[in-house]
Amino acid sequence: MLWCIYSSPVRAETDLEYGAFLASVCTSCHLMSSKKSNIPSIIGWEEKDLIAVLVAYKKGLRKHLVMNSIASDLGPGEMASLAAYFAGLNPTKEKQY
Amino acid sequence: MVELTRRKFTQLAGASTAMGILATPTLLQAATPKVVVIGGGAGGATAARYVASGSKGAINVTLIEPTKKYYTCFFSNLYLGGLRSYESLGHSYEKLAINYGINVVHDWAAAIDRDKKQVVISSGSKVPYDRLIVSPGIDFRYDATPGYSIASANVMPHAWKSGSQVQLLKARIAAMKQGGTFVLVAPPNPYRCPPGPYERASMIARIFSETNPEAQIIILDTKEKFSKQALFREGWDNYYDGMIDWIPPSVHGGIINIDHKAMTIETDLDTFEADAACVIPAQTAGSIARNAALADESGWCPIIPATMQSRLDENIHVIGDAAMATSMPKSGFSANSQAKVAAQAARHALTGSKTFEPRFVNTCWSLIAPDDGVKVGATFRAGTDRIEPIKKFVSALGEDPAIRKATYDESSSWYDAITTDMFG
Repeated sequence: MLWCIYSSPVRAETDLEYGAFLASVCTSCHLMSSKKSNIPSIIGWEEKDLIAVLVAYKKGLRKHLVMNSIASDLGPGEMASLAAYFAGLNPTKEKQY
Repeated sequence: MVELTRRKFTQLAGASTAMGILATPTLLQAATPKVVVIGGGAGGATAARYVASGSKGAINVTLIEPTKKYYTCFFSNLYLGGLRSYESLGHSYEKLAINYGINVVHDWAAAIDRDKKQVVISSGSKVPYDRLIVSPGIDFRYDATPGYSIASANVMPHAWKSGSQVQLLKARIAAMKQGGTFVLVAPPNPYRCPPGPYERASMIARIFSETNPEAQIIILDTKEKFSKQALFREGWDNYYDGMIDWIPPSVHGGIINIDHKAMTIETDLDTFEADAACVIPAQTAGSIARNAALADESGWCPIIPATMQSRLDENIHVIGDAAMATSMPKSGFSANSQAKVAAQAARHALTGSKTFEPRFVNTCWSLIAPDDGVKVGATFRAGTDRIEPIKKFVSALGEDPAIRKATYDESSSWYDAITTDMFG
């Protein structure tokens, strides 16, 4: 019943506000900067590239326990919104949320 | 009291002046809504930051945390294992104040007056709230840990809230006599950081392997199985050659008494003599939450999964270890994740901001030996009665060493990211 109360884009459209919300899951592990890290930077990517990677994790074509788990629960609208949000962040500046 | 009152008055006066020309009479009376957060750990610091950054000044955020420098509990085992400095665990609150405008009050939250919607801090000042986010972490149940008391903690440190207790435990490990016996008492479920006691045993074994190779580590457990059990046992066999002996209650029969003066732990089976010890007591929600009647008979605080609101007070959210957030484990990562759900819900309630279906995530990394990291985790969504796991995962037994090293490297970078997510 809960879904009635949420603004929940179901189409594969970009929604920057939704992307920013979903990105808060990512920032527990990914720095929102280009600072050196063993966990790849995901800001400033071309949208299609980030979507392609997320699809590959969802399908299991790329293997990573955490990312396979997270991508399994992302639909096309969520991937598009995340990709649009991260594409808009400038890798030369630190930014969170 | 004086400062807070004056500040509040100034804010009210400022808001009225700025809005005076355009505002309707109703708006003139409306002050900036207030979110108060109790506890500046993985839950509270994250919640304060996300409310402040998301609302962009539309909500006043106050964070009440007694320590000026916060030392994370997560990764403190790596300090015990000689793989991190103590200083690397410490974080200050200055960015939350400077970059996010959060009013960081370094004091103890002494009580919550739910009727008046205010927090009383130990100096006697009262901090009013429209929404309160309670993230006090754990307290110990000494009654459920026979013989163990606050006095015992100086001799047999729990080291389960980081800080000087972890430094003390490290000193006790270093000072243990050659060929001595180290006893670790592991707590009953539920407790903070399910794999933590076993990672701790691994890190102590790593130190002993180099400095005290004849030493023994006995884990007296209060439960029959534990998190990542197969992975730890495989690692202990690989690296520590019989040094760690794990004894479940079906073997020792139950812990009868812990005597820190005699350095003994008495069980049904035997009385174990320790040359050094770490006793991690049974746990319960932080006392401020229990004293405010936010906990039920279990000692933990029931919550509504979709918003992390207390089931006992709609104006209060409880997050992190104090919450009964079944089926998420009590971890810093879980607290950080729950904080974002609570922040979204509090902002929506106070400013009408958009909300989306919450998502929760957790990963617990553990280090068995240098460069041998393992992990367990899941994604979750809010169900009606509990936080439902969507997709779980765990490291495989017998993994390639390159994967284990990558997992450890990943955990180090996770530490950097989550502490940035908490403290800015």
